[in-house]
Amino acid sequence: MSRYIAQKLVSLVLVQFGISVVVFYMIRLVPGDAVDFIYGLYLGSGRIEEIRALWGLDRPIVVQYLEWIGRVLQLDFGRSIVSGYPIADEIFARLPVTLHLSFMAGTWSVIFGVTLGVIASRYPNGKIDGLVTTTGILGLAMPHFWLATLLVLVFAVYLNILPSVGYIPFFENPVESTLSLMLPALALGTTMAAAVMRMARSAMLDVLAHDYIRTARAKGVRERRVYSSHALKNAFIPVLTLIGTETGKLLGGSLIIEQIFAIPGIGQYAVEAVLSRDYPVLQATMIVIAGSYVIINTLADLGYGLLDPRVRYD
Amino acid sequence: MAESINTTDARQPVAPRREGPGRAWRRFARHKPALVGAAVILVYLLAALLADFLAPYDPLDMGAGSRLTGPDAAHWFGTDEYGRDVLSRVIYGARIAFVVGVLSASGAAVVGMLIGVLGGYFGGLLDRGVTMLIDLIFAFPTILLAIAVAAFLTGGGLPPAVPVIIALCVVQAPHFARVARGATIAIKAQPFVEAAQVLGGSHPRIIRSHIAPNVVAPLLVQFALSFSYAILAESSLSFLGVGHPPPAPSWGAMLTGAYGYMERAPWAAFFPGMAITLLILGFNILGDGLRDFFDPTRR
Repeated sequence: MSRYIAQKLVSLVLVQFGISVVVFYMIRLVPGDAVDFIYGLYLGSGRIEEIRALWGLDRPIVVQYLEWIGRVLQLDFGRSIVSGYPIADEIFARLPVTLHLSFMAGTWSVIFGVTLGVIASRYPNGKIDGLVTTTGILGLAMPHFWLATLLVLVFAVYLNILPSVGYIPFFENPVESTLSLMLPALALGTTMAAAVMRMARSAMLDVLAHDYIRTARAKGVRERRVYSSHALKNAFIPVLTLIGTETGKLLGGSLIIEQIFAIPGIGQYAVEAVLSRDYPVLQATMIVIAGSYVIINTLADLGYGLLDPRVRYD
Repeated sequence: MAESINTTDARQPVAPRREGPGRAWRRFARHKPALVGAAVILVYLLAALLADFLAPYDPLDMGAGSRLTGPDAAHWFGTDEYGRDVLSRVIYGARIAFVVGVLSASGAAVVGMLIGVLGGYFGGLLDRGVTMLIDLIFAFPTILLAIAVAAFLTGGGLPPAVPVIIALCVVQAPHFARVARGATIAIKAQPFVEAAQVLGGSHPRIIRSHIAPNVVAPLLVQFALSFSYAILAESSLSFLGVGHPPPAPSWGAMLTGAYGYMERAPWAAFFPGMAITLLILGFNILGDGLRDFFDPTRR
C-alpha cells in the first residue's frame, strides 16, 4: 500500500509541474504579445518596451518560468492588472466559498444518486427504474446554466421562496447561508447526481448477477442483508471512483454557476479574469483550480486502492 | 485481412466482422432509443441546412415583431428584448451548433487518432510522451481549459468561431487519443498484424490498412459523445461571453440575454435551452446505441 501511495504522490507532483508549464506558456498563445494587447492602444512603443522589461518579458523564457514558479510556490501570484490588488489574498477569500458550494452540490448528488440508483436496481426495467433512468438521461443532457435559469424562474421568481443571487458565509448565518446556496447547489449537482445514479444502478445490477449473491440468497440470507452486506459494498467501488472524478468536475461547473448566481467564489474570479483579460489572475485561478482538481482525483485513486486491494498490486 | 478476424475476447475493442449493410442496419434498428436519437439529430441537421427556408423571420431582424411578446401564431416561440423572433434564432442557432460540433469533433478526432495510433503502435518513448500529454490535459477541468484557450486566442483577428473550435479541439483530442491508443495496442497484438510485419509490410502501410480501419469503430462512439460535448461547451462559452459575440444567434448567448429579463419573458430563455438539451439528448442516446452496436458481446 505504501508503494501505491508513493507512486500516486510522485505522479501528483509531476502533473502539478506539468500544469504550471501549460499555464505559464498559455499566455504566449495571445496573438501578438500580452503587453501589446493590454497596453498597445494606450501607449507608445517606448513605454511598451519599458513595461515589457518591468514584467521581465525581455529575458529568456526559462528564466521567466523559474522566477514565476518560484513566486507561485511561495503563494505569491502577483497583482491583478485590473484592480491592482494581490491575487493571493483574493484567492484565499474565495476558495472556501467554492468549496462550500461544491460540498453542498456533491453531498446532495451522492445521497440522491446512490439512493435512486439502488432503488432502480431492485426492480430492473420496472416503472420506477424507467422513471429513474429517464431522469438520469435528462439530467446528463441539461446544461447547467439552463437548469439554473429554470430553477431561479420557479423558486425565486414564481414561488419566491429561495434567493436567486448572492452568498452568505456559513459562519455568519448557517441557515441563511444554506438557503442562499440551495439553488446553485441544485443546479451544479444535477449532472453529478445523474451520473452517480446511472453508475450505482449498473454497478448494483452487475454485482447482483454474481454467483455469491445467488449463494447468499440460496442459503436463506434475508434480502435486506443481501443488499446491505453483500451487494452494496462491492457495488460501491466503481461508484466511488466516479464520485471522485465528478467531484473534480464540480470545480469546472462552478465557473458557470457562480457567475449566474453572483457567488464570490474562485470560479467567478476566473470568469471575470477571462472577460477583462486579466492574465495574471487567469493564470493564478487556473493553477489553483486545476491543482485542486488533481488533488481530488488523487484522493479518489487512493480511496479506490484502499477499498479494492486488487488495484494496489497492478 | 482485417475482415477475417473475429475475436471472442470482449475486452478488446476490435471491429465487428464484416456484415452486409442490410443486416447491420437491422441490428442497429433493434436499439430503438438509438433510432430516436438519430432521428432527433436529423431534424436538427435539416433545420441547420434549411434554416433560410424554415425560419419565418430573419434571425437578426429587430423589426420581426414587437418586443417581448409571448408565443402566439405569428411568433411560435415569442420574441426577445429587441423584437427578434426566437424561433428563427433557435433555428439559425442549430447552424452554429453544427458548424462548431462538426469542425471541433472532426479536428479532435483527426489529431487524437494520429497521436493515439502512433503512440500505441510504436510504444516506447513516443508512447510515454503521448500518455503524459493526455494525462496533462485531463488534469484540467475541461470547461476551464476551453475557456482559457478561447480567451487567450480571441482578439487576434480570428473569425469568431475559430477560437472556440480550437479550444474544443484541444480539450477533446485527448479523449480520442486515449481510445485510439487502447484500440491500437489491442489490435497490434493480433496475429494478422504480426503476419503483415513478417511479410515485410512497412509501418505506414500496416497502420493505414490494418490498424486504422479497426480503430475507427470505437472512435465513432467517441465522436458522438464529443459532438454533444461540443454543443454543450459552445453554449456554455457563449453564455459566459467567450464564444460567439452578439448578435449571433448562438443558443448560449441567447440564454445570457434572456436571463436578464426572464421574469417578463421566460420563453426567450426556455426555448434556446430546450433546443440544447434535446440535441444533446439525441447524441447521448445515439452514442449509447452505437456503443452497444459495436460491442461484440452484445450480439
